[in-house]
Formats: sequence, structure tokens, C-alpha cells
Amino acid sequence: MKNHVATLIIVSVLTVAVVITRQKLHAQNTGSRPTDKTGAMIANTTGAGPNKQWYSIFVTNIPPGYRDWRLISVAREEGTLDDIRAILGNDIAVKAYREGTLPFPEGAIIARIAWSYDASEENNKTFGKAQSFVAGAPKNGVQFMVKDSKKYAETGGWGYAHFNDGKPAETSFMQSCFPCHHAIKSRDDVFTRYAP
Amino acid sequence: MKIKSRSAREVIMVSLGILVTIAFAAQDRSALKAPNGVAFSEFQGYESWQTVAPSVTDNGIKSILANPVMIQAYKDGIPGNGKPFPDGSKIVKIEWKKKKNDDSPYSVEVPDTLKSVSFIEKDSKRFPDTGGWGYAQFNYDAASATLKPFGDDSSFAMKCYKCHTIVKEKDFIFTAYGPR
Repeated sequence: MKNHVATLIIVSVLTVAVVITRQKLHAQNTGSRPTDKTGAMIANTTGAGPNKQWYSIFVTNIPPGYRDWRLISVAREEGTLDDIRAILGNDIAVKAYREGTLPFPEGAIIARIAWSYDASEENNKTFGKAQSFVAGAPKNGVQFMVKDSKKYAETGGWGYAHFNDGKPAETSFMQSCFPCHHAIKSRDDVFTRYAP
Repeated sequence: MKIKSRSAREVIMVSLGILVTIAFAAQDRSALKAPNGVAFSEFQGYESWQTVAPSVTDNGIKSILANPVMIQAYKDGIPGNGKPFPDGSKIVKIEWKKKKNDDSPYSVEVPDTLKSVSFIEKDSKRFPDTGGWGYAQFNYDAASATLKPFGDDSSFAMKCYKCHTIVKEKDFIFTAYGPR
């Protein structure tokens, strides 16, 4: 009889534990799930230019609405580029990041936007010393990686893009993207890890 | 049903222990509240908000995100046009420690572990003493992987408010929207 009671208690506690775990996981998932509706709505409001033709092996039109995509991470790039940047993803890319899906699925697009690395006078006033740096004017163009295994088979399934003031960068410049990114083949040629 | 062998009982007890650990290891953040009553749950889904701009300090790297109401206000020219952000505006500052990205061929600083998550929300009626903005900060404790509310009592919000008063003409918000 004693054993029956013990078994009953153990089973009850196990059940409760499982339920709590499931609920928590569910709550976390729903809390961070990208909403396609919002994404699609916003994508239409912040359009890029008209749909130009995609040519050669590089991406040559700017994916619309990228400024409103979700955050993947931020970075401070030193050296000659000297900027502060945000890496954003479309819904497919962000979902893949959050679920740890590798390689990235077809249609995933990762965007890199950057600004000049400026000391903030307001913030320095607050802290009493020059220690805070913020995003200044747009800098170093915008870049994209677009996953399309067939179209961009020659460059690891990713189409690379760089735009300066809306114009695609020269072919010679674009040819440097893939060899460098391919060094991180274990993560499907993508350097940035998910931060939030 | 009888648990016959000692080893079977041990297996059950160990499983139980593991399950309980899993259940409580993931902190239930929905119960978190700052001392002024501003709850973490009021900002649910903040990870999916849109980016206002990143920033960097000596020992951290941050991203500031805002909810759709506030992003729209930014795009409409607030606060540069002299208008205040509308009620319902919410903004979050996610701050991480920073580290060098070892994978990168260039010198790049990227987020390390989380440091804190700070929120401000606009509700003119609810927060009349702090410029209409309600403040909350949750500091991340890496050892226990939990967030803890910052501030011993509700007066912490006055500290936030006083400092943010430097940018009163920008409706108390430091971070400008980074156009791209």
C-alpha cells in the first residue's frame, strides 16, 4: 500500500512537471514568434524601387521592407569600415535562427545595415565621460544574403548583394563576398549568430 | 503496481529530479515586475519588435527596439517635429557584454552574454510623475540564467526619469531612429 501511494505521488509530480515545462516552452514560443501578417503589411509600406531584373549571380534589386525586419544581432565593426551595424532577417531567416535550422531554408534573406560610429554628446553628458557611441549617418551601404540554392548554386546557395545609395556594387567587389563567407561553411556561410 | 527493485526506484527518482529541474530552469518571466509595478509581461514579444538603432559603450553593445506604435511615430517624424510619442509607445534596450568575433577576418565586436533588458512605455495617465513614461529594468544574472528587477523600491524610476530629462525636448528618449 505504501508503495502504491509513493508511486501515485511520483506520477502526479511527473505529470505536473511535464505540463509546466510544456506550457513554458509554449509561452516562450508564442512570445517570440514572428507574425507574418505584420511583416507582410510593413513590407508593403516601405518599398524599395520597382522590381528590376535579377541578373548574373549577384542580387541586384533591394528586397523591399528590409528596414522593418526583425533583429538578428548588432555589431561594431572596427578598422577601415568603422561603423556600427544591425543584422536583420526576413521571417524565414529569423524563424530558422530561432529554431537553429541549418542550412537556412530557401527564401531566407539576411540584411546588414550600418551607420557611422558617432560619440553621443547627450549620452556622454549623462555618464560624465566620452564612453557612449551611437548610430550616426548611414554608412557602408546595405548588404543582403538571399538563399536560393538553384540560382546561386555557384556561391553556396546564397546570392550576395551590396548597394551604395541604391546602386549595386561592381562585380569585382561582389566576387570577394563568397570566398570569405565560405570560411564559415559549418554555419551555412553565415557569420552572424542570433542575439536577442 | 509495486516498485520491486531498488534500481527501478532510483531511475524514477532521477527522472523526477531531471524533470523538475527542466521545469524550473526556464524562468517564468511573465511574473517579473519592477518595483514601480511595471511588469515584464507588458512587453511580451519585444524580441520581434523593429530596430530603432544599435549603440556601444565601454563594456556593452546594445540594440534599441520599439513596438509598432512607436516605430510608426518615429517614421512620422516624432520627436524631431516637436510632437510627443503617443500613449502605447513601448521601447526596449537590450544590452549585452561585448566580445571579439573570432570567426571574422576583421576586427568586429559582437554581443556576448545578456546584461540587461530595459523598457520604457508611454502612458500619460499612469505615469504622470515621470514625464508620462513608465520605466523598468531587468538585470540578467548569468549564473542562474534569470532576470532580476532593478531597484529596491519605486524611487528607482525617478533616477531613470532625471537622467532622461536631459533629452526632454525629444520626449525623454535618447535614441534616434537610424534611417537606412
